[in-house]
Amino acid sequence: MQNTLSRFNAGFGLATAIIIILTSVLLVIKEVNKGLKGWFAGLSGHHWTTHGVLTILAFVILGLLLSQIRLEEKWDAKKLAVVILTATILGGLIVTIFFLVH
Amino acid sequence: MPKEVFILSHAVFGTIGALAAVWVFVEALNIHQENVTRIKYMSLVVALSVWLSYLVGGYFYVKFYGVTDKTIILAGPWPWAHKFAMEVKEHVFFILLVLATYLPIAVRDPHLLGEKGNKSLVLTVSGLVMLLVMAMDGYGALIIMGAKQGLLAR
Repeated sequence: MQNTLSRFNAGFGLATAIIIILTSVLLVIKEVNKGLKGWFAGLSGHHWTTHGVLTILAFVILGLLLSQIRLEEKWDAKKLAVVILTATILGGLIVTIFFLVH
Repeated sequence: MPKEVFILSHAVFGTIGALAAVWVFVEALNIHQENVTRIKYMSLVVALSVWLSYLVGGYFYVKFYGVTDKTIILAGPWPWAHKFAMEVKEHVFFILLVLATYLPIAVRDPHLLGEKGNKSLVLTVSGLVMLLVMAMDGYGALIIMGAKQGLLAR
């Protein structure tokens, strides 16, 4: 298959989808586990600050790692667009539904 | 510096980010050799604006919101403006931040012009940024109304 994505686009694109799900799941774990929330708050002064720093750090590290595995040889841009769209909808639903029932 | 500067800057940068995302979306619909440079510059405006909105809004949230507005909202008739609207807003913002950071990477793909799928990818990401900023605006309005209701009930 001829590549239709650059390696950084493929790597950071997939990292975007994965991190959106992970940061949403981390929210649920953090809110349910008060010990973890307190630990997060202790690290930076506020649990939300730590959550944000971890999200961005994980995005950069995962994006760089995924850019090394030749993902662009197996994936195309349309598939990546569908994965990012699905992850965004799922992530938004996880956060919204959690606070609706919490 | 008055705390209002931070919250107003948060909204202004967010709005600039949304407008820039609309710009990228519309240019991508009609992508050709002549507008690729504009798309690349505007994608940077999207990322920069959303980051600035995150930083000044985050500073306001961590430094001021918890000690004043949150207390007023929770004591007022619309406590859900914090328990739901603010909680969802502060966490969905991470999704927006990641998408806005990724957009400049997506538009710098050398295959952007030659492959239709890349156009769909840029349309998807810029469209999601646009919708999420508008959602943030909506939640922001609910939070402000929650504070107003709390003050009126005093």
